[in-house]
Amino acid sequence: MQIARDIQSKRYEDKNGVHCNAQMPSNQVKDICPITDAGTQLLKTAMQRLNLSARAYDRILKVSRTIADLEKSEDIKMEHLAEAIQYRSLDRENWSGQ
Amino acid sequence: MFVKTFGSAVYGVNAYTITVEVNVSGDGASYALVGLPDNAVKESWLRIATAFKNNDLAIPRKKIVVNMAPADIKKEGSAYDLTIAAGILAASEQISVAEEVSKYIIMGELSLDGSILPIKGALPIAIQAQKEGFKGFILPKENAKEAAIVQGLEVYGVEKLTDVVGFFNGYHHLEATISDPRADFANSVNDFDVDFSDVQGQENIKRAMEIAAAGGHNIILIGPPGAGKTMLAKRLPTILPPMTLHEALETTKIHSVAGKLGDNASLVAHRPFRSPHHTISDVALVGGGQVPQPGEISLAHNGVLFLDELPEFKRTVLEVMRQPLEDRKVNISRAKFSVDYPASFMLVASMNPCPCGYFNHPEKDCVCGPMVVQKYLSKISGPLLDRIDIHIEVTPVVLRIWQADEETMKKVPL
Repeated sequence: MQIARDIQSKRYEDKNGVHCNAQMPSNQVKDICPITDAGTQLLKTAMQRLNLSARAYDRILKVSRTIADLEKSEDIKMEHLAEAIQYRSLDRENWSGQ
Repeated sequence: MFVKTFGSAVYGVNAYTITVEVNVSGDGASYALVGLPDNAVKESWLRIATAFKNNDLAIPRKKIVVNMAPADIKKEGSAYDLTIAAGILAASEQISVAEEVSKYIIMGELSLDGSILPIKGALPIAIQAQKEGFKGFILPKENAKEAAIVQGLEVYGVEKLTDVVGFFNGYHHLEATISDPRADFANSVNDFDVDFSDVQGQENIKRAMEIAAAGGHNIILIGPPGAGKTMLAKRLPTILPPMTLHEALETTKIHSVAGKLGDNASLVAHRPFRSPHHTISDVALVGGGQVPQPGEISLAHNGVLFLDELPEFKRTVLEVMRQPLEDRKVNISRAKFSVDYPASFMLVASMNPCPCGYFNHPEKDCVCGPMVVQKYLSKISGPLLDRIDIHIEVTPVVLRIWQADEETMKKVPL
């Protein structure tokens, strides 16, 4: 965990007021959280299936960045992305069992 | 004689220097205070006059005119008592070095017996004073430690009005308060009385909370009563990474403005964990009020805001959080003022899945109809939910796992 925060502190060293992934400004999400083509595809499907908003898209990327940081991985892998997506369970329309 | 002394007004988390001009001359004892003072500032004369009398200081039998500039900023509260008192003392030559008085920011509330009571916002005032090149800052002893965080400024904590007179006249020695924020910061150990290892099982939730804590993401825990939602959330601060010095300064500034630091406190070294009750009003949550005050979301800056039983909060209260959740600051605008408070917090919420609480429960049956469940869930608006990155269902711990855990714990000595 401390390692994950250290990675983040280093990443946001020169940025004022940003200390962790959740505070990442949206215009930098693309640079900081690059994903593979397969990842883009997965995210696209998820967005359609779960009816996710554009904000949710950014937020999923940020969470997957954190998961990757926790695993000390440079880039965001498929499993990181998948884990981040499954944490948005309340966006699923069928949540209340209908 | 004409003398200038300096005080400071705090707006939002920034301070603005206020010049207090005192002129004592002419015949006839009179007193006038101008420059947009509020009632508490106007009343200061009675406190000052009584404190003078009780400390054998002379009230000049002359025309006293006090002007507070800039005149367009409203001066509030009783913290200018000492600024004005020092001005009068210097202008009536009871303090012999008038030019020395102008090199300091002097602030504090006077008590009738001449003792000095604590003020709010000492840290932002000290930061501003250092920026503007003041030599020092004289303030109540209780606030000296928090102001001493600022380097390159002599900070003197005083207890009595006579200390100030003695200090300037050279017969009373004041020791400058010195604080080394780095050392203070390093010394603060994580002494929590709860621990994450108290939680039995719940591995998937621990994992989700670890991710949330590592990246500062918002998280909501949903589950039946007794599943351990609150227990898990309360232990979140124990796994949060320690604050950086920069973060600690930001948070301390807000707590200083709110007057929530306590006596002799210096740096807020732990991430704040705020858990307001669900009867909280919207102003209390985001900040505001007649004299603008930071709300719970700002007090939780760089820390955690924990909202237990999310659907029980008033809808308006929850909706006011939407913009600060996105912008990480909140702008409070009223007819008379507009202030910005930083509010970069991690939202942790917990809720039951339905009014009876047992929807989706592995053993117990839920007695709520589908409409009732839907209605309960719709208390949390879509836009708010959209801003929460991690949603996680907490299922109750099965007794079996619990005991198994206990046995392994016995076997493995910690």
